[in-house]
Amino acid sequence: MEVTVVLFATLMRYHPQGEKNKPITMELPEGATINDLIERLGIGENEAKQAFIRHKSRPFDYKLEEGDRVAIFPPVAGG
Amino acid sequence: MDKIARVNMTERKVTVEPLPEKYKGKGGRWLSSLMVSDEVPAGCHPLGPNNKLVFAPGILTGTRAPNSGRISVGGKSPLTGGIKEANAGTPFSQQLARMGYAALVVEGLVTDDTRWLLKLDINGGELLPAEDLKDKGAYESGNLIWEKYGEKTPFVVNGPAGEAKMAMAGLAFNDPEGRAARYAGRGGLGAVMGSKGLKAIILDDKDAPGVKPHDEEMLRAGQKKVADAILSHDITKKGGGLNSYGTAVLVNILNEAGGFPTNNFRSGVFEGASKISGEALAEAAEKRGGAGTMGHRCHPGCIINCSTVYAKEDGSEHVSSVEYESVWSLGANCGIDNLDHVAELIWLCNDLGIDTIEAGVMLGVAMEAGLAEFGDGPKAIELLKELYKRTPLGHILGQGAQFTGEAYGVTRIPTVKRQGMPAYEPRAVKGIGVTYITSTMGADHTAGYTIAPEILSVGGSSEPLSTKDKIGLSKAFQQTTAFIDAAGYCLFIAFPILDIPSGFDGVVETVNGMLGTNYTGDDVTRIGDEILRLERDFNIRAGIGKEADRPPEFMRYEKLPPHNVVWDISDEELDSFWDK
Ligand code: SF4
Repeated sequence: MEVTVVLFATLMRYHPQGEKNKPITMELPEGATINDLIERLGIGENEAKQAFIRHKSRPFDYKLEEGDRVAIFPPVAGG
Repeated sequence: MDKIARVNMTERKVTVEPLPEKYKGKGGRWLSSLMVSDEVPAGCHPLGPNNKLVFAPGILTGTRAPNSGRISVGGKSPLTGGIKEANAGTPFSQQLARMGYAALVVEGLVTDDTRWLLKLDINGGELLPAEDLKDKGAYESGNLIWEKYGEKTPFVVNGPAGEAKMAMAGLAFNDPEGRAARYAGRGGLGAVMGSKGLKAIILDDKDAPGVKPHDEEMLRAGQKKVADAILSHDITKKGGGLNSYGTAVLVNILNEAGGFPTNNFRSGVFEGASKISGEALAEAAEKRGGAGTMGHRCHPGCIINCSTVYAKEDGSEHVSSVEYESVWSLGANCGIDNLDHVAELIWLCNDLGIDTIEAGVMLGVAMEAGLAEFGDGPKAIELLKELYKRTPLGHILGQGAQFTGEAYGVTRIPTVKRQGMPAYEPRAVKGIGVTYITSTMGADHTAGYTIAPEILSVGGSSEPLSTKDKIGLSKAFQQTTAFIDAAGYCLFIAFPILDIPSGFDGVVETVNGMLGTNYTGDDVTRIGDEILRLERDFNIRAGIGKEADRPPEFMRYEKLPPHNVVWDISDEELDSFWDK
């Protein structure tokens, strides 16, 4: 299945083509989770804090579906 | 910090008095709110002779505790009609504390159209004529002050909007490089200073005694715990999110969560979000070079450095600082995704001396009223310039979002207690909605930042769309915040200390080391609660009781996309906020 990933803030350095927060299209096996995707991108353990799909923060064992757009964030805050 | 300076603008007299017993061991918001509550008649006109302005450094301000250079400014708000404390991080506060002042009170008013500058020294000081600064922009006023009184002179100035007594005027304190850019912005305290005829305050710290902690060693131990927590937490450490991308690092995550108010709170998602984000700011700083800076600081002693300097195309400085709240209010909330337009709007706000949040919420309402199209940056710039000209339109807009909406018959006015809502959609993030609605300040995110657990997974996690336990959550945050405000710490230390217990202990220890108290974690909540209740009591006396703890009506019946939700916490639940 195909999913789209967008990386933000300090995670942008993991963009495979070095194109910061430009969406990445990825081919993953059926049943793949957010964890699989994070691993595939080589994002270090504990560096990814949250992943949003359809405007909700999802647990990392969430099973991805065809066409999902996943937004991944490191720990961020502000005010 | 054992004395109070008092400036009587009616008599043009400056006096110094010892700090009364009752006020000892208090600082920041604790002291400013207490003094306003004691000295300002709740029913007074905010721009009349009986209102006062109280400037109070935090308990720890002037010490080496990290990020402790905040100042609290209190008074009765011309925007909300209730009590107000607005705070800012600035070297001014550190100097005021080191000069031995726990508070500076401005009272009375001049009855003619003259302008004055207060030069405060350790023995009091003098009021000097300031006709040369009359109607000058805040930036130019700050520059003129440094030219005349020397570089590094700490100052606070009022912009032309404050001089014209506009209800969204704030007060601009100097940053370390002398920009009049660190704002105690919210609630119209600039109009109060304007009503008094006071244009600026400068500090002459000759022979300043410095601050003397009760127990130096304990203070130092606490300070180290706080610093260690800040420097080890992913959000606040060097190279972390805040330091690398500024507060606008929040733009994308709020947008992904569907809680980023767009086009005057019509939607929770903004298509152009990434163009006004912290990532875009960092990219501009890198590409344009020159003055563009990430990791700038509002006062020496800050070890997070969340502030920014934005450069123009040619690398010359455009404006500092470009904050999350400002790119949201003057950007997404107005449908504007051009960062250069947003930067110009921020510059204008800073120069006029107005709160960027209120200005953006007002512009959103003005767009709703048809004064400009959503997304039209140049027209928004033109509208703000009306304030300089003092046209009737400028005076209407200068009164803020609520007044503007009323003038034009708008029903979608996102305010609580007449103060514009900040950059989080209460329908999509319920806890922050409770804070907006119940805060004694009017809609204010800093009063109880439940965004931490609701969106950022900091300090635990709480489902943003759920209404469950949100009253308690907001209350806990509001109490702790009031204590942090009293201590004089920057609120951003909350992120590490929520997650790292020793950091929290360090906060309590620093206060104990400074004061010789034996406060525990429980006292943080108790004191915080005491501050909230004394503010609430002032508001009730001013006629702002539970009837004002309500959301704007449209949020109850207009479904907010993308979650298609309304505000669904009942009035009874909201009223329970104040149950003991
Ligand atoms: S973190 Fe930001 S707001 Fe806080 S003290 Fe530092 S520069 Fe100022």
